[in-house]
Amino acid sequence: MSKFLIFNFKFSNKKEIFFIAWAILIFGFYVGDLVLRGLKKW
Amino acid sequence: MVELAIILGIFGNLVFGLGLWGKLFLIKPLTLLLAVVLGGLMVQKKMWLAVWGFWKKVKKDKIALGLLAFGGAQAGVNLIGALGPELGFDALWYHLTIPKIYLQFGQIFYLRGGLYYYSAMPKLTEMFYLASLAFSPAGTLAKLIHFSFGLLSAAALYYLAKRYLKLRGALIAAVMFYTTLIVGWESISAYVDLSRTFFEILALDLFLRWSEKRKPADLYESAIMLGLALSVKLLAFFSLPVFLILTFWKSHKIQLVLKYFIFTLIVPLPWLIWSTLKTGNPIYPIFSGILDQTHALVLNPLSWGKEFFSFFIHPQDPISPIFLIFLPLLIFGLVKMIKENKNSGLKKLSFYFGGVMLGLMVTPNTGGARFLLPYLPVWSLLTVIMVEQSTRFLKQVLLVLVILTAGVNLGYRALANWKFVPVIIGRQSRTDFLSRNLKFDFGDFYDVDGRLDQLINHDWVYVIGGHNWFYADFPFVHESFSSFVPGLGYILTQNAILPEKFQGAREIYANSQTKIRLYLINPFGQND
Repeated sequence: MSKFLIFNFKFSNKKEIFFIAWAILIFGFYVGDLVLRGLKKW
Repeated sequence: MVELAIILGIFGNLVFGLGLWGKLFLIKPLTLLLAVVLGGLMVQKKMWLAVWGFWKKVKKDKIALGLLAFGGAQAGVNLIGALGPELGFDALWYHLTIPKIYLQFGQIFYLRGGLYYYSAMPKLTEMFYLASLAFSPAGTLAKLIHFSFGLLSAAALYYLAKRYLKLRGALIAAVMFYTTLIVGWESISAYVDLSRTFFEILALDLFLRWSEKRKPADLYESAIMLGLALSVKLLAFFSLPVFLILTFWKSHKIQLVLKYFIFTLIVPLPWLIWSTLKTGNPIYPIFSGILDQTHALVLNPLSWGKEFFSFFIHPQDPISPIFLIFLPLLIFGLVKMIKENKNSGLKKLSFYFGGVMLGLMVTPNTGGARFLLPYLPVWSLLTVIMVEQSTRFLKQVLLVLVILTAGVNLGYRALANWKFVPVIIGRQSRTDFLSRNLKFDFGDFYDVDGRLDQLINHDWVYVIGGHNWFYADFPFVHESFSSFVPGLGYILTQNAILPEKFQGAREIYANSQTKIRLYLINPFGQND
C-alpha cells in the first residue's frame, strides 16, 4: 500500500474542506471535554 | 504470543484446581514454576530476532520511529500509574479482594450473598492476581500484570495489522489503540478487560490465519483463545456466534462450526460446572435476579444508536475522537467493498466488527467504554485500512490526528498519574497517599492510623457493612457470605449500625474519616 505523506495539506475540493471542519469540530469537543474534566478533577 | 496465552491459560486453571483442592499454600512453588517456563519462552532466539528485525525497520523511518516513541512514552506514563497503590473501584471491590480472601482461607470457595456474587463467575485473570498477591500483598504485581496485558494487546494488534498494512500503517493502528484514554486508565488498575482484549485479538488473528492457510490447528487455537477470553469475562460469549457464522461462511462445513463451538466452550467449562454446582446456574449471577435492571440485555434497536453515541458524547471513559471522525468513511468504505465484492479477508474482518458491535449494543451498558475495549483494536485496524485505500489527503489527516490525539492523551494520563510519583519515589508514605486518595464515603477501606493493625494483631474479624475491603490486612469474614461464627475476636463496622444481637460487644476504636468502628467480642460468648 502507498506510503503516508506528511503535513503538506492542499485542499482540492469542498469534500476535503468539509472533512477538515468535521475533524476540527469532533477533536475540539474532545479536547474541550478533557479540559473541563481536568479542571474539575485537579 | 499464542504459546504465552496457552501457558497462562494452563497456569490459571492449575491455580483454580489448587484452590478447589484447598492447597493454596502451594501457590508460591507453582508460580515459581511458571516464572521458569516464561523465562524459557523469553530466551527463544526467534522472538529476539523478530524484535531486532522490527527495530531495524523502524529506525529507518522517522515517522514510524516517532509513532513508536509515542507508544513508548504512553507505556512509561502507564507504568508510573501501575507502580502506585491501587485505587480502582472494582479492583478494590472484587478483582483483588476475592483472591485475597481465597489466600487467607487457603482455598477457593463460593462467596454467597450480595457483595461477592462475582466469585461464581469465571475468573482466569483473578487466578493470576491470586498468585501475585502471595508475593506482592499490596497488589502492585497484580497491577503490573494488567499493565502487561495492555502492552501485549498492542503488540498482538501490530502483528494482526501487519497482515494488511505496511510497518507505518500497522504502527498507526497499534498507537491509535494504545494511546486511547480507556487503555491508559485500565493499564494502571487490576481490572480484567485488557487480558480479555489480548485473548480476543489472538482469537481473531488465528481465525484469519486459518481462513488464509486452512490449517485446522489455527482454527482450534482460535477457539481456545476465545475460550480463554470467556474464562476472563463471560461477555466474550457475544463474539462466539460471530466466529461460528464466519467459520461456516468460509468452510461450509457444519462439523468445523461444531468443533469451534466445542473447543471454545471446553476452556471455561470447569468454571461453568463449578458455578452450576454452587448456584444452579452456569452463568450466575446473570439471570439470577440478583442484578438490577441496568444489567438487563438491551433488545430495543432504538436504544442501540443512543448507546453507541454515548461512547463519544460526554462518556464515562473517553475514547479517541479518531474513531468518530473516520466513522462515516469507515461505513462508506465497508458498504462500497461489500457492493464491489472484493477482498474477502477484509470482508470477514468487517463482518466480525459489525457482528461484535451488534453484540456490544445488546450487552447491558454498565461498563461504558470498558466493554468496547476488546473491539477497539479491530476498529483501529479497519479505520487505518480504509484510510490507506483512500486519498493521500485522508492519510495525512489520519496521521496528524493520531499524533495530536496521542499527545493530548499522553498529557492527560501524565497529569492523572502524577499523583503516584511521590509515593513511588518514597517522598510520600503509602498510608498518607491512600488516606488522601481513597473514597471512604463510597465504601473504600484503609487502616489510616495503623491502630487496627495494633489492636487486631492478625486475629479473625467479622466485618459488617463497607464495600471495598482489599486493604483489610487482617483475616476477615464478611457478613454477606457468612453468619457470625463463635470464636471470632472482633467485629468491624463501616458505615453500618451494629446489629442488636451484638450489643454486648465493647467499642474499642472508631475513626470518623474512614467511618469504621471496632468492637471487642465478649470472650464469654454472651454476644452471639
